[in-house]
Amino acid sequence: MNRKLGFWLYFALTIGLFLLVLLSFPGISQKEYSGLLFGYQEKPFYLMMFSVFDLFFDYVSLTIPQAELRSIRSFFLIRRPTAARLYATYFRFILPYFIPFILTKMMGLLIFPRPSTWLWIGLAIVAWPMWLLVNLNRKFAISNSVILAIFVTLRVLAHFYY
Amino acid sequence: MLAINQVSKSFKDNPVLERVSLTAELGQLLHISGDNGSGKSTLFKIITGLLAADSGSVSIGDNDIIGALIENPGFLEYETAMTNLKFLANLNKRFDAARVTELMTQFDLNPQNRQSVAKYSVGMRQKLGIIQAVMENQDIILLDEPTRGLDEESISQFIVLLNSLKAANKMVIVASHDHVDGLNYDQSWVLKAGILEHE
Repeated sequence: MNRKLGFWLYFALTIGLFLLVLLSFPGISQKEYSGLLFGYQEKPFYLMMFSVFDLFFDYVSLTIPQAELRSIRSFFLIRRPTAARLYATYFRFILPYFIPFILTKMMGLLIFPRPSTWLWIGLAIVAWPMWLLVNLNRKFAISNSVILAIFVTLRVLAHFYY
Repeated sequence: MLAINQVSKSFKDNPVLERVSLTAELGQLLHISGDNGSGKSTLFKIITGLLAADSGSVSIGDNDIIGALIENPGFLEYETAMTNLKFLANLNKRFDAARVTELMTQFDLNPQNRQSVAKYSVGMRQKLGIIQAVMENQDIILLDEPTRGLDEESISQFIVLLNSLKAANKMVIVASHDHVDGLNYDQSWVLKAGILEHE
């Protein structure tokens, strides 16, 4: 299966599971519900599993395009494009991954439209492309485990400060 | 025009290239032979700007465009061959669909194939690597072990391609540990322990 298509199916599944939370836990507060997209819930089990599922969604949304672009990076550099052309090319390539990532975060805004939600969405919008570009511009890629650790750290921070 | 002047490169105090100099003109076909690890790929990386030399200089003509296949080519693994080639050529808005189709057909690759590159054999990837190095009408073409994984028919096509590039006034430098029969080189060099010498 095309990896992009697989990722969009993952996105659809994430949205589906997120909507199921509301059906399964009608008493959940708006803040807790929205917070699932930024932080995590330890219990009940379904919410914990969704938190992990959504964390992994964030992770693959970044690592898939990053791995693809890094694999072709030397062909890019040989062509010596202008910075504007290079970043425009990156931008076009990452959009199918970045849009679903942002859409999941925007759902939090629909549920809990507060400054804290705006803040965490803003962080997501800045951090995701920043990490991608930092990694693409490095001679040696930052390990995926480090990227996962960053996403986990952001989730832990959001859990306490969202 | 390509002028390599006294280029040296070391990795952690281990010299890979020592005062390498070479001059070539458009329309010339060059061969650099050498064992694995002799510095061929490093030299190509320095010419293309992927690596910086410790000392010395590399210069090319003002309007010359470099195309290169160096080591194992990496692609957008989950995209088709045509998508990959279009993606690369469009980086500098030089995609020529007719030229790419012609090259793919010449190398027995189906331009309409929806198979992702991840499923390609070593030889198919190598052909794709060669195509991307020449598809944008590049003037200076560097090919590192280009026949690796190619079958006899593909090697014949490769020879036809190189001769046509030479006829079109392109400079082609082939680096390989062995010789490809059927190619008449204008210059033949050997790289031994980082030193480039006439063969």
